[in-house]
Amino acid sequence: MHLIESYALNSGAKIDKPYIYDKFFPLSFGNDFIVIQPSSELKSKRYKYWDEVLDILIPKLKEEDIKIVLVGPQKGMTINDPYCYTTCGQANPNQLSYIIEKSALYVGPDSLASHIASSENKKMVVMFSIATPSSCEPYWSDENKVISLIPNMKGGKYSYSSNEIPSKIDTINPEKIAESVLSLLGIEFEYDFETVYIGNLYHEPYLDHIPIDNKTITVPKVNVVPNVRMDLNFDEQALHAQLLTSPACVTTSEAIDNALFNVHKNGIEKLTYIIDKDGSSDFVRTLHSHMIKYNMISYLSEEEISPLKEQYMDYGIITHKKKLTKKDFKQINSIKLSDLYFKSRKSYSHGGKIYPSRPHIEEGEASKSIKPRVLPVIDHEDFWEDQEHFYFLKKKA
Amino acid sequence: MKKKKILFHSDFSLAKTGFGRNCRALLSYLYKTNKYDIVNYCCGTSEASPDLTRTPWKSIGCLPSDAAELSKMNSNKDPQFQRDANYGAYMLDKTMAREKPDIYIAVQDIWGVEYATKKPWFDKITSVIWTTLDSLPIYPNAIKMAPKVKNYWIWSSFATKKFHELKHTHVKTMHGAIDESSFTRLTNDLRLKHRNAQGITDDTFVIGFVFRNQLRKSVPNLLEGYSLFKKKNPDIKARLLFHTHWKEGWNIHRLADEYKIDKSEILTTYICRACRKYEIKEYKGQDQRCEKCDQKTLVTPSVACGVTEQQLSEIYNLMDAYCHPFTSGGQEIPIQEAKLSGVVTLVTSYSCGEESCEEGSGTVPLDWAEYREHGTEFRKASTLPSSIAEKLDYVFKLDPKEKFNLSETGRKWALDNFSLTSVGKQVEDFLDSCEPTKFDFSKLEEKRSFNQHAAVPDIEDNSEWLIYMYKHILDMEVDGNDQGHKYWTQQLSNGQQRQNIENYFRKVASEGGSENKELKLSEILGNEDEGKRIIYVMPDSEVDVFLSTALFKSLKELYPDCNLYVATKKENQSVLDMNPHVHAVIDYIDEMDDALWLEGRKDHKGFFEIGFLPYVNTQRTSNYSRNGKDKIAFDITY
Repeated sequence: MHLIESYALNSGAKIDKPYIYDKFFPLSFGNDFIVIQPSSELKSKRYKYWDEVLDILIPKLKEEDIKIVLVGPQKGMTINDPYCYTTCGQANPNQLSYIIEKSALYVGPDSLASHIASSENKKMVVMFSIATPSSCEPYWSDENKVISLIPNMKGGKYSYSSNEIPSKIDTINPEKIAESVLSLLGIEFEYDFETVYIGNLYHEPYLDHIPIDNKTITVPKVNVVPNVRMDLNFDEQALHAQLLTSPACVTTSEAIDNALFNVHKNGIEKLTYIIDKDGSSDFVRTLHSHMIKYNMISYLSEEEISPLKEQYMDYGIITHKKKLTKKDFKQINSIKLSDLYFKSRKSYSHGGKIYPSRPHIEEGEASKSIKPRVLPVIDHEDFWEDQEHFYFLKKKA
Repeated sequence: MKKKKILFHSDFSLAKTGFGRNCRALLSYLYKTNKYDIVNYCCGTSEASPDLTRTPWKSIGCLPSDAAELSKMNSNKDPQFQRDANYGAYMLDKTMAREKPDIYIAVQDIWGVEYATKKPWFDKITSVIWTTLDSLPIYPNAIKMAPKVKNYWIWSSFATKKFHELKHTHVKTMHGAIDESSFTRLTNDLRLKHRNAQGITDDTFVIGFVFRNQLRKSVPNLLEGYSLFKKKNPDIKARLLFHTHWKEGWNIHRLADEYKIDKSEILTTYICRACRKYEIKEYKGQDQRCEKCDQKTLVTPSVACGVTEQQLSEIYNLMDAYCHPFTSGGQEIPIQEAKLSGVVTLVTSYSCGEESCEEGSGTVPLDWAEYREHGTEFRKASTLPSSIAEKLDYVFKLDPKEKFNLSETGRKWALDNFSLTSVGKQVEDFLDSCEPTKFDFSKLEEKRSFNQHAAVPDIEDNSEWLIYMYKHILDMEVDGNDQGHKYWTQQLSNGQQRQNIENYFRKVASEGGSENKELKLSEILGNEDEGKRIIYVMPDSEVDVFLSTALFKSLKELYPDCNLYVATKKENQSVLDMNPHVHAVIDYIDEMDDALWLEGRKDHKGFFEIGFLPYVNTQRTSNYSRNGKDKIAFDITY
């Protein structure tokens, strides 16, 4: 039952069209625009892969001179593309209604905007996530004006929860959203790939710097702090050199010389200490005394970690981590490796160059920038270890 | 062989409280034996607290992390219920059913664990109540429960003796454990080095007091005693060292003025919130500059931000005498810590101090006068300032060898009776003597049954009337000392009607509770359209309010003579701007959840002819989605 039907039955009233008073909102262009709601007050309705959708959508919309207006709350809004005009956090419900009334199409989660768009009988692509679609679908729209995108429920039921881990909405593939928008707008859609799996960490940028030969990395213009991977190559001299260049995070499985902290304690944003059986709480005590932010992780089993906790319990939580392997990539058996591609926001810096994954370092295949590119996968254990940072795609036949 | 499972119900082992420190010391000891499967069920801690994973043994919070469960728990406003929940009552049965321990040990204030003795499993498995009792007469419920509690341990022999006098001879003393490895006597050279580092000269006589700044710590008495001591010895260089938090409890400087003590003679511990180094100096307020960090991060120690045990031991070693005057206390751990650190102790010889002053303890006893605590009538001690002055003078004048011998006696006594080695071994022996449980936890159910319709007889005495209602409506055993009982007694004395309280109890029983707020809706509505009002209530979400506007035309057609009011939260009200069907928009309040409150019942005439509460099926419970498979047999659209 739809929400409005439940309200109607309870109050004994018939359902008419809803009413909201439109209030003017300044827009610097005419009516040729679509509305995207990239965020929501509810975390479980915030889609993480708008950048991927826009990568496909914007070139096509540019050809047709159709603009994009972003609506909804500012909280959780991550789109930063100059082609998009944002009103996020600026328009009240009445102004939102004004914007939607002027638009050609709405795309986003079921929301106030989607219901307003429905009451205006606008074209719309609605992404459902936490509630059964029939309870919150566009009630007043013509059927041919709506495309409903349903998440992959994997046999489960809707959560009706404001916070889902992982969020079901993220199982809607970016190319499906782009295809739906273009289809309703009558624009031809061509795309060579289809989504196979998007890793849980893909949406966040990472820059891991493997220290060697005092080569440093200059931080690119993105909101990311390099993480110096002392666990991959323990080189205190190179760490020192990097910290002279920029602030950094540090990951280490060995104790770092106290003298380095005397010089650089303010330059270390966070230190991750990988605890193994030979680890020592003395090092953590040193970090503590230098007031360095740190966290402790371990790849040991729970049974192996428990006895170690006694020496560390005054200093924080030891988070248990598992090293991922090819076997953990569940789709591997259903796809030919040669058809499998990946994109990554995690880059490695090594010897003054940037690489899209660790095996690319060995193969000497550097990137020109940290912008994600579609590349063939490399069947190597170091590659699979980072699988949660990757967006896997399959090349269409 | 399967390890015995112990559920240790106390403060979280990393909490800087007496119970927390005992818990940490003892569980560390037991964990190292590798003989037990240990679970710490932690009072006042949320299930979701990430810190619970820090301990090598399993730690579980006693407050629910699930929002719905938490909301249900918080809806009961009864102070007794809330206090018990914080101590772990709300989740205890569930935890027992899940963990299935062989042995249950509850270590807490007596009112923090007494509900456990009424649980169906309590006497079916090996259960221990290990509690602090600090005053005479002994808390009546503690005596009442004695026959049922086979393993009844008290932190101090002071109370144990009273139980024995009452023929409850199975009650025994089990001191809280102190990890002796943390508290040591430093060599004289090292001690002087630490003193010099803190600007304390060799010839200064330092009198220390480590305490939580609360009513039962006799700060005024100590200041007056110190003042008298100084009058008698005007030429000596003496200092008080108060290791306490100055932002709560006693206003120490105001008392110092009263007793004409120069404030510079009162030192305190400052701890840096950032680097965690400590400094000893005169108190000048919070957020003082830390020289090492060059930031305003120095604060006086509190439960939230304290020194490590090693630092505390150093601080004890700065002292020449440790003076602990108090009204009553369960064990007063600083006394034993001071002894273990080799400091001569002066202690009020009442409550647990009676044991601290026993022969062979090396304690210098402080005399006291009795007074009664208002409300509880417990006997309390007011330590005599003249005795403090006299005993400080005695310690000051002891020759170094005598002083050393006295402190050594105290250290040995503390090691024999309070050290982890001693207490840990006793607990270990006890655990080893216990049989594994055969109790079937799968049959464990919440036995507490509310009865909102229970008949309440006309009982003249307010206290007995409240106890009856607790028992028969809320299924709770309380007495006059319970928080809830005290709260309602106060309400009655303030003129609250019995009928209102009884209604509240019945409401708690029927619904899990809701607040009875004062409300003046009638003032907002006025009289003009009385008898011609209908209200549509939709507390939450712009979406739901927007959807609801689709019904207003129809409502106005159905009730053309009535004004349509819409109640919603402020943040949704702009959706209703300029709506032609809505007479007025008003703020939603909790009471509107009750349709009869809106429409009237019995003597309450209500405010509206009809109250529509359609959100009850969508926002209070999800009674509409039906997997998207339900159908409506008739047309409900225009």
